[in-house]
Amino acid sequence: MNKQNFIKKGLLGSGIFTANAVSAGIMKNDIDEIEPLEALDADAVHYDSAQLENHSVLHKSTSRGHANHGWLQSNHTFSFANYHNPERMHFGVLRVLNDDIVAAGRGFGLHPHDNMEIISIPLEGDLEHEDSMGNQAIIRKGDIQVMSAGTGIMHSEYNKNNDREVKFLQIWVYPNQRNVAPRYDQITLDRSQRHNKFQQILSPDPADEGVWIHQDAWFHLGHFDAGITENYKVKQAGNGVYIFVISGTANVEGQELETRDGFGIWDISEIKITATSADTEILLMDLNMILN
Amino acid sequence: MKNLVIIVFGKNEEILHTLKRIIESTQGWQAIIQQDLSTCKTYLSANPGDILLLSSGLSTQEETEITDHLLRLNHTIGLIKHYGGGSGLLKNEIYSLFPDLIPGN
Repeated sequence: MNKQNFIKKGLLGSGIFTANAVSAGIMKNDIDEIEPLEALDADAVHYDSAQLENHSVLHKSTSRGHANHGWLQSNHTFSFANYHNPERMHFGVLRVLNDDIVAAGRGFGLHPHDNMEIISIPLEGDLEHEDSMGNQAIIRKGDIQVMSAGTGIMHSEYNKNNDREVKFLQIWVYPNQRNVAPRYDQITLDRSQRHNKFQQILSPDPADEGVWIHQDAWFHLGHFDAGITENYKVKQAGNGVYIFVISGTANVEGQELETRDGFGIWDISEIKITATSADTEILLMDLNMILN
Repeated sequence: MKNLVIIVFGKNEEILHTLKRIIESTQGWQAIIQQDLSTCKTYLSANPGDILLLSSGLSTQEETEITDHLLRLNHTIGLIKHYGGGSGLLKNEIYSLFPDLIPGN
């Protein structure tokens, strides 16, 4: 396998958790096959179309896995629960991107999590949260919720309202260390600070803007008018960027994206993003491509 | 469906029992819970099973020691460092080790 295919295979997931025959017959789901990505040109800022094809992955909204539980409609960008696609296992440390709609008054009963950084972003309605650390909270559009599940946490999530749906994104990021102390936080952001620009909503630094997680990841939300262009500088060398179009349409480095499309790009230091319709809302995730 | 014996080693009792329930919801899959390093080593030596699943609450040293113990066993066994604590990723982790188990394969 040449270097490029090797990298792509790893990035697309079939490498990271493929059973590896090692000594004494152990097969591991560890990350042995993932190696740091090599930038083709460290000074390159933008790609031409041929370079882009080798440094990006497009996940059309219609290609996502879908689960219909009656009370829950969920679209899975990556393999989750009963949806298994070996080509859709992760993008770097981004493991889950679920686009959920929960019916009025319904929700997820008490259930556990461990060893995952879990970020919830409400899009419409109110989501009620309770957990084993004693937190009781309601999150709504404009809020960001984060849980470091670590050694283990039990929680429930319900639609607070009996007369309308709640829509939210749930994102799981692999932590940079296992078995940290569980932690919960939520913040309310000033949404005006993301008009025609990206607003940071998450970072690895507790002192930085937004919530924080145990991983070299920076998330941003932006709400753009048609025709507005932003050049995003990648925060950390070697990180990749995954863009999810929440509403509207966009062009990212020449790739046209529609609502709920996802687009991952790596080996690049700066990304050009243009909103191509009014009211375009974009979630930009700048992520470590290597699980430490 | 292929029969699987999965030894689930961890410290968080609620999560261990959740994982056991999820595993055993698939016909032919059996989960054996282990919470103590020494007991787990002894069990694995006598009954290595198909998969050792490392759940939460283990120290780095415990994870290392149990992995080293597996290396000394003359037995082919899958090792899963489990993430997530529930049904979200568990089956995908198992399918990644045993692609022939993927429904439709």
